Amino acid sequence: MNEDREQLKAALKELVIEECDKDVEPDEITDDEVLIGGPLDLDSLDALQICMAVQHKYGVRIEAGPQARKALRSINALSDTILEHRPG
Amino acid sequence: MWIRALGDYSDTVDTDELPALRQLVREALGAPVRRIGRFIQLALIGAGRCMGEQALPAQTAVYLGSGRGDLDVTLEVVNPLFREGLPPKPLSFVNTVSNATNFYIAKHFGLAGRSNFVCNRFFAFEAALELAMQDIRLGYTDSVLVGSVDLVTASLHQHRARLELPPEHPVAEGSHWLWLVGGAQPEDAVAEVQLVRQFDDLRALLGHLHALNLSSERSWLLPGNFVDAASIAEIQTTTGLTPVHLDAREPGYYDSRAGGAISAFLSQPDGDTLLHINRETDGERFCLMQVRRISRVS
Repeated sequence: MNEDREQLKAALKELVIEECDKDVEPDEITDDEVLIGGPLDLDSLDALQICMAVQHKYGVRIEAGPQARKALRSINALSDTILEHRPG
Repeated sequence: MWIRALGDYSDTVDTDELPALRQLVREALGAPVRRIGRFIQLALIGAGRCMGEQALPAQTAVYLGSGRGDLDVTLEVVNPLFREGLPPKPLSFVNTVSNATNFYIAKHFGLAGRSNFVCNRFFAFEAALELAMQDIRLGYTDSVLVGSVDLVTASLHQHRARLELPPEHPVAEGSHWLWLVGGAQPEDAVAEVQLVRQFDDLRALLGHLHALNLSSERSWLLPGNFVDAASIAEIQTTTGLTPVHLDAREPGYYDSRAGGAISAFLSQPDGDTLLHINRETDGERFCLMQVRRISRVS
């Protein structure tokens, strides 16, 4: 389970870089750094892009509002959300 | 109307792994640009190469033509929507607006002038240039960045099928730009666009060409992508000019290849005047683009 979580976090870092078109390496993103408005300088459009990508890839729909704010707090929070709501 | 700068990008695409453009964008603009797709990348590379370090007047307009528009981003939206029943990703959706490309160009160069995107299957570059000339003539603007962009989408098999090309036909993508100004001839003008005009049919075009009384030594007759051999033969008979045939396989097919004609003409020493002739293949119309080289005596 722990191994799954680490793999998921690594995959999510790559997803964020790819979807938000950022020139950084995955290991430059820490697990608990703030995603939106943090060091990566992501905005609300990036947030929406990440949510859609997560839905496409993991089948987890992140609702706008409090759930999105919570899920997009960090890579840790995003992976928790996916593990909690992933179908099957 | 005067051409003060030109810039181009064109490249053959021969594998499903499309060439990466991010670094070329960075080189052309001096900075990376985030959240843009291939079509906008191509536009920025061409426009960046056209202008280099030169600054444009803030009221410069941006007129972009394309044969197919941003197919790449259209597929990114349409495929999930219709094949998977999923909503499109927002960045793809936002960039389906054709003028999104003009926005990024205007943003990079700090422009606040008019903006037009023209989609024309056969006369993509010519239509944008014709519109720019008309708007300069009418006094709406006196400086326009005019370009054309067409791209390749993966897979090449599907791309060729979409363009109705035979299997293995070479395909390419291109981005061609020029800075056009009105008024008196600027000191740094490299060419004069004398005419861009569409004709109802070959007869009307031939009548116009005949009246020009062209010199075969000083004119460069360049047939475009879509002109058939029979029409070229008639044009040759009427004008006495020998057509220049650029290798149609280099760099490969894309709709708006006419955008590279002016650069091709100016990059070689022969002829004072370019006559680029194109036609539509689902109708009778022809388009003539006439450009005069401005020679400098050193």
